[in-house]
Amino acid sequence: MTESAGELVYVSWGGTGRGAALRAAYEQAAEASQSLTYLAILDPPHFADLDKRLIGLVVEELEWLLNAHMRTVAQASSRQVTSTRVIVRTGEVDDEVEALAKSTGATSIVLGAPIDIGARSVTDLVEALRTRTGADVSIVDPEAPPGPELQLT
Amino acid sequence: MSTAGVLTLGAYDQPVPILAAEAGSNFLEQELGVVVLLAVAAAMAIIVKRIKVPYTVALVLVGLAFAFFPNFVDLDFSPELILGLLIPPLLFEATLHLPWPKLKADLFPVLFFALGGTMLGTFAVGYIVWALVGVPWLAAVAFGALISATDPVAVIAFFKSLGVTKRLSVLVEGESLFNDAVAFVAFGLAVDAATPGESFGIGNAISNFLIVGGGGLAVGVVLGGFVSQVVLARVDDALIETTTSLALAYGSFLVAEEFGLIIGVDDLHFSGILAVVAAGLMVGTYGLRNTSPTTRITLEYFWEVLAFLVNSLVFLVIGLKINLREIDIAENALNVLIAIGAILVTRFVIVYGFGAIHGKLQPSRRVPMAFKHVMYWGGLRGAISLALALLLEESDFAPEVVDTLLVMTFGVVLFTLLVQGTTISGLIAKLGLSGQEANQRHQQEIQARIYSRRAGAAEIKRLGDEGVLFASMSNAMQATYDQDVSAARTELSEHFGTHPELEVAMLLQARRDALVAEQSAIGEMVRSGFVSTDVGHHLAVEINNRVAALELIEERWEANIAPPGKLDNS
Repeated sequence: MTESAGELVYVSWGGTGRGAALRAAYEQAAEASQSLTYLAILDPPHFADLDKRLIGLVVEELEWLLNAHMRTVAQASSRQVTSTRVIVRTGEVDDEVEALAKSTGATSIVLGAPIDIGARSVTDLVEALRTRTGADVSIVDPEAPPGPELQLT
Repeated sequence: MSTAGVLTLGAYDQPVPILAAEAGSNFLEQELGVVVLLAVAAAMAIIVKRIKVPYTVALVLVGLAFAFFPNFVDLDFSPELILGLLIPPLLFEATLHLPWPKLKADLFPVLFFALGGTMLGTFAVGYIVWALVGVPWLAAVAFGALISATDPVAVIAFFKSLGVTKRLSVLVEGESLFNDAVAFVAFGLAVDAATPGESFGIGNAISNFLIVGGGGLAVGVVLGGFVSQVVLARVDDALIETTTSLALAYGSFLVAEEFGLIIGVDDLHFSGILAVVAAGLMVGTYGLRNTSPTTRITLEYFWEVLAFLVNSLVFLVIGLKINLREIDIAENALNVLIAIGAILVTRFVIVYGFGAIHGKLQPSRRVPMAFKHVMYWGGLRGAISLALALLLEESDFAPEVVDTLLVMTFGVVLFTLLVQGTTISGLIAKLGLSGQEANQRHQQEIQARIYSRRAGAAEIKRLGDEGVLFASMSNAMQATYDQDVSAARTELSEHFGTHPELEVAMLLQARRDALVAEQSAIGEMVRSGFVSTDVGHHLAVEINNRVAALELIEERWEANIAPPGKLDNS
């Protein structure tokens, strides 16, 4: 088994970076022999109005969906990532990314595009995350060439 | 046993005056009339599912048919009954679909269109009708008010099926809700002013509008807030919460309308309609937030059914009220055309004129031009306008004026539903506002082909296994089918490779289908006695929670994904 060269954290919130972005992040992790963590954040602008019980239900269902999505992407790829996992957190994007990066020692952080960050600029967000985590921060390009085809069985 | 003038009814052999027997008989006739109308409504619902016509369009056509046979059923809905019984649930149900966070974001344009637009529409349409049709000024204003109430039921149904962005839905539904309320107040003021001894000065009308409207809003906020925080937030029982919401819808209406009676001040009343709207918004915002998914589903389903019943009754009753055999068709056709022209011109000014002003006042939330086109052409009229027109019967306007306004209202509703209602989906698609892009449709086509060909192959195999078909023929046909299915699968794989964004939509759809299948499986297990009702209920609640969570995820994701292109050309 290939030894993992660090961890790539793929970050998504409020519906950002679905589909093509996750595929691109998967290929990037496989290329760099990194393990892949899918961090989905239920951020206040999108989920603050829900009470704890509903947030709990959303977390549970989102974990199920994203695990299925991650498996779909893995099966469609010709390459293999050493290990994958899905984490769903509730809170501010910056705080949650920093907390996860520090606890896992993540070396790469990939933000799923399109990015919805309200009034902030994308550059500000990327710089803030770079400073707070010390990791490489990039935005995955959703316009990148399509990944491998999904094989239906 | 009966004696002259007295009937005996019931087990106790108590004598009942014959008058009561007549009243009972009359009640039974009315009940029969309602049952017949409900049966017609149900039949229409079945038919429209097959012919893909909006339900309200079908209802208005049946209403039109009823207009030729006014004695089809013996039913007499009094104006009080229409106002007090039918209107509150229509408005309350509409508020439940408006998520406050999204409404709040667009509250300014919604109120701007609803308040300013409805007031302009009331007087502009009123003026045109007064000048060209020749009805008295106050009757024309009342007509202007009632016809300004837009009814998005048919349009929203298209929005859902076409996957239109939520912001457009909120703008259309929000405007409709508030302009219904404004139209009611303006209509009431115009009708009241027509009573002998009253007048309709602008200053007087504005102060009345503020008192009646503000008071109604206050009553709704207080009662809705109380019910949300004290009952809905603390009780988790679908039956109790649904019953409470029903009591709130009617209660807020009655308290506002009878406020003077309650506090002992003569002639003081507030707008019951605005009270219902405010109470509904409070429940939708604060009450439902704390309810369990099961309760939420039960409550929404209950209100959906009630709105369906009320909508059906209103559309059919108006048909019964218009006796087309006795009216001058040629004269009324001209009046209807004038009314249609008036609403189209006025709506144009409201949507594009007010839209341009709003764009200057709030550039960050300007309404895209494509949205304005939909708001203009999607400004249909429906149940609220019809119900208000029925209230005219109790006014002091002359009977022939009331008849003219009834026919004009019905004509406008008929036009908007038949012409605008049936072409709005084409407009939405042409403007590129449909969420179901060509790529998604192509994906569904391939999936459907795979599904249908597998079904064909299974049938051929069955026929072969049962010896109905030669084995060699069955095998050959199955192999051909397999080839087709394989080709379709390859096509689908390539399609996903080119359009990976479809993956998540497919995942969500598949998950929804799977949860529905899980629900059916549990129901089957309960029916077969494999699990107890309690266990089945517990599992069903779990799945309901999953469904609710899935809907929330979809809703929040959708809100964040702007429709492609075409929206920045305001």
